Amino acid sequence: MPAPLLEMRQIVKSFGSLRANDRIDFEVRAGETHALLGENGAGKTTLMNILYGLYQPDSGEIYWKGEKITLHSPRDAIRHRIGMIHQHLMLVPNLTVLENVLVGLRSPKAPLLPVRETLSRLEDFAVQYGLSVDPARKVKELPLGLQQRVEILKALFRGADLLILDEPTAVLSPLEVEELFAVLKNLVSKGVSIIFISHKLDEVLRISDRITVLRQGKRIGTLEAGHATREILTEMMVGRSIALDRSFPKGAAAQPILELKNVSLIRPKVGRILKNISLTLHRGEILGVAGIDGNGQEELADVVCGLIPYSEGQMLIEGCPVLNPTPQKMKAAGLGYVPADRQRVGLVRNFSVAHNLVLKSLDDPPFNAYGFVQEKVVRLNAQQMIAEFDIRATDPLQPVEQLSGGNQQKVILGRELKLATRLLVAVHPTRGLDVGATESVRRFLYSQKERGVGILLISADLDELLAMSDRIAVMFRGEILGIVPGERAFLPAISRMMLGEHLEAVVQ
Amino acid sequence: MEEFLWVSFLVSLLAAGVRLATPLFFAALGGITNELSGVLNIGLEGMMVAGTFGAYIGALLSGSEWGGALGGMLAGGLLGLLFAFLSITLGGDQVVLGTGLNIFALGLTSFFFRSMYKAGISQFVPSFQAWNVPLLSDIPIIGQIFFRQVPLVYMAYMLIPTATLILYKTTWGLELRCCGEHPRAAETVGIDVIKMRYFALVLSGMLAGLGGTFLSLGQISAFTEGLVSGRGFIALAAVIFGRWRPPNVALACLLFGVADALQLRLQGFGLPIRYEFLLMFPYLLTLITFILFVNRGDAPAALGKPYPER
Amino acid sequence: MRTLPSLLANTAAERLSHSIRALLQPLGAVLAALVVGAALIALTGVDPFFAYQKMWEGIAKSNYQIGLVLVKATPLLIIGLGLGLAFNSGVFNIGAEGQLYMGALIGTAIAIQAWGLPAWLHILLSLVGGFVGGGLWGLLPGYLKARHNINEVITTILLNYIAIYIVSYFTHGPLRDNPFAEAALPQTPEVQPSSQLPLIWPPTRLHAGFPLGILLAAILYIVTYRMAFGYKARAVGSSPAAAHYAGMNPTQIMVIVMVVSGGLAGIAGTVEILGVQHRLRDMFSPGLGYSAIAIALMGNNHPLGILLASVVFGALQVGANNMQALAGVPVTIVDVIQAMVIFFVAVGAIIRWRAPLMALFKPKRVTSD
Repeated sequence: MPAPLLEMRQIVKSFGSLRANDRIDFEVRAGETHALLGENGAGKTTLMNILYGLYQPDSGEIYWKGEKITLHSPRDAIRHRIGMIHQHLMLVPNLTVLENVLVGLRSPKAPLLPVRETLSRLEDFAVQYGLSVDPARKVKELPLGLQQRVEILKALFRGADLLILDEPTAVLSPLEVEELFAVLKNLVSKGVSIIFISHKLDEVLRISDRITVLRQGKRIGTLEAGHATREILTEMMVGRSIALDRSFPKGAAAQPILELKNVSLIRPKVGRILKNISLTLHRGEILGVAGIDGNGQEELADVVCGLIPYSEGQMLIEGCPVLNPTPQKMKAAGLGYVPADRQRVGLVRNFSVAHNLVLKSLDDPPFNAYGFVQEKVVRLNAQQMIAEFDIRATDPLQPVEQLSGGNQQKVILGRELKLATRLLVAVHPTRGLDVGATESVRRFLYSQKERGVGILLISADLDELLAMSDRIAVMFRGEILGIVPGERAFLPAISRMMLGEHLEAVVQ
Repeated sequence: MEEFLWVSFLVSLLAAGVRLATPLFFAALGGITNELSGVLNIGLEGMMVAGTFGAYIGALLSGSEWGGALGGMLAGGLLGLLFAFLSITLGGDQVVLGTGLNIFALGLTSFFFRSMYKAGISQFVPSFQAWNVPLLSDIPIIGQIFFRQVPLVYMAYMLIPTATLILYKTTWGLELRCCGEHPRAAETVGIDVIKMRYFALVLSGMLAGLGGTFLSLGQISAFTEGLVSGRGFIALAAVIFGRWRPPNVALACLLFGVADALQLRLQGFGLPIRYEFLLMFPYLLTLITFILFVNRGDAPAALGKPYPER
Repeated sequence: MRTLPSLLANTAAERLSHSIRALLQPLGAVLAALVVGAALIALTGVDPFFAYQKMWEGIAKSNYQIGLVLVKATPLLIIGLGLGLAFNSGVFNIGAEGQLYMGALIGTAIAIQAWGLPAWLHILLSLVGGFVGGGLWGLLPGYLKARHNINEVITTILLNYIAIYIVSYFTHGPLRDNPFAEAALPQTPEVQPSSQLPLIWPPTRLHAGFPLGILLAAILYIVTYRMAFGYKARAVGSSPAAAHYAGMNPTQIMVIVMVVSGGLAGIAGTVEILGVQHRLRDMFSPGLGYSAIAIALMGNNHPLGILLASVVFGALQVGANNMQALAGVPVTIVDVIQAMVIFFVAVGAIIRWRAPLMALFKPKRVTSD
């Protein structure tokens, strides 16, 4: 049996006290599509960044085509004909496709750019791999699917025997995913090997020859795709602790709290971000919002919370229209908002836990008297909240940036739950948190529901939505394609709507 | 007769405008370079200041104005290197450091100058003399305006197409721009972003130093404090006004140069405007163009952001 | 801009250690800058020890000199307070020089009027005038930055030049003292005795501007660290997105901050005229507005640190004058030292060296992506 194309042996990489890669073995055979599967934070991207020379491993060896190599920078990786398509595309939006493909390449016409030569090579590639794209267009004018093509072209131009794709489908529409898969199959038939990083089981099962599963920085195992099933892979990915999927009791009152009627958000030059959104949220209801990232969910949250003024339509709270909502108005109406970006938006990082807990109430009694912040009251309030929400802080006056992600989220939750007397909007509330923190965040949300607060829960985690929501609305390109009950039976319908099919079409 | 006076007024105005635009253009070209690489260089002013003094010392030591130019570029380049070390290697805030650099250059040149000359008056040193380009300088009007200048002006003319070619048509230029737009992307295609930015800053310092050289050796043949007085900031505004393209930036510099020349000439005209307002005019013009044009949104995307991100 | 760890400390002990650091850090930066300064002095052929000895004698040889130190510190303190507020709020106002000029202009225009007012009222009116002049000069760049995201560094710098020429116009023109006299200097008439700041430590030149500066420092401290407005201003400076999310109005806050920042520079300019110069002269400021940038950064944008930094630089200034007279070292060495202090603070040298040490004791979690 010939030596594998690539062998990574006993790779270790730590960041501080966190072991991102713990003695990982990984190999790729020539001509295969090898999937690297695992949850967020399992260490997939770290391993691949090591392979691409962006990180140096603490220990371990890399063998490439049978020879031991060290990779100090991407330049070395490129020299060895290893290409990588990053999850966040490494393209320069303001440059043209041609310039993006050319940058960093050695030119036969040095020091001038080999424009004409490259154009003809691009045409060859278009024919050979089915990768056609207009080289004169600026990258920022292209849809994401085409941008990804440019990335692939970039890698192929540098010569790639091995192509690493990091979560390539995360931002693609279903049609674009199909196109990508066709391109990948074509590449494999031309002799390119592929590492396909994903946490999506179906895609992995479809595209790959072999699958390696990582969990918490360790390699759990490698399977032939033919022998793998969803169940086996799930168990390998998450271990046996799938307690998170336990469902919360459902049910809500009939009084509407929040109503959106044909709300649209239009941005000049960009177009409609939200299209005629209509939904009703009731007392004590959790309305989940599902969708692939970037389909308008976060904008919907910002609009409801008054951060972005909407362009058309109407918003009502308990039947009263809210004109020109602002964050202050919505706070006064009893709204709490757990934003997606907790570090940048939800918290003032260099403020203390105590002051972050009153960030939205700095002007309100009892925290403010005659313009002065009542430090004692602020501290007392913090002590209570720290106990109530189990925030692990050494002191109420500890800077919030020193807290772990889970505890930071609890600071935000504590603050927002107190404000949310009618309505709570939570965006990706458990993203990036460990199991324990996730569990307590969900419990806090649920207790709020029990108190009759209506919750708009926006999440990319379908299991979370199914476990928590009474109903689930599915968003696609700024539109709500349908609202279904939050039951597992509707999962196929939700998945199809997430890919752009209307509810009516799904039901038929 | 009247008409003839006007023509000669305009010709001398434009000729002076070209002359006054030249130091701005050198500095602005430096500004283009470092901004395209992603570094915001408020310290352009200080680099010009260093250039005025470095050129004076260079001319003094070598006895030649070209030695002066070398000295000016060396002084500016050294400041560029210092800025690069502080902002890139040590990760200081570019705006704060740039402001510090301006104070540093003013203080240091003044310190050395006053140490050398207790009376505060410099010697005269060799300076650049006007050189009429054969044939071209005989063209009526055009020749008078453009081709009876000092050699540094001709150098500036040549730099316009050369710089455009380098920045927009060569692999190096593309790599430089990539660093300013998306440094991580640059790194993933194997470009050494830090080296690139270092180089851009040193080059920028040398060009600004050449601009400073022009002020001490192209217009007067001596050094005095306050020769630059804000021209570095005007150059910075010209970069934005000209949208990082050398020909457009050159035109912007010409506009400011002519404004400067106009205020100098009007002072002698006995107009009913107080000369303080005339002195103010170039700065006011710069301010207005800056306010109107700064946010047209085609600045390098990573401008002013440290890399690697901290 | 890089904000140094705020003085919002955790426990009482840590708060104390923060305060000590707020005092030590500026001194460390100055010491480091003085060492480099010594090298420069040696380069010019002067013995740096001799030069610094003369500098020290210039500072400490008499009460008169100490009074002079505080006189020099006064404008730096008042401007520095305003700049510290602006820097804390994420606005890099380097237009204090122009704001100082505009404040001095309006303050002086009021102070020279023979209205027969009682001294306290005349002084107060002049100071208010100074605040208004400087505040207006801060309003425009503040508005442009807050509303249209136009870089304040360039606008404030250009406004500096414009303000200096405006004052130049008034001192040569409308406000000129006795314009028909032969060889009249470009300056205004002397301010009325009723508007001159009283001397508070005769026979030194120390005037009431210095205690006023301390009072302003106390007010600034309370506003920034004890009042809701200060919390909001600092939130806008360190996390603008969070401030917007929390329902604050970053635009409004930035504009207010710039008006106050400019207004304080304007007060400083007026104080300088009412307390020291007694006439507004063409080009009267030796770059006070720029020096104050170093003061604010060195003082960690904190009123206490700024107070200390301004006294240190007042002393350097006074000492440098003596050093120039007796050791032949140009006073502009102080500018070089200021610039180097800015460098040291900007790269957070002291904090950077501390970080690896701290890491030994407090392992910090770093998450991979």
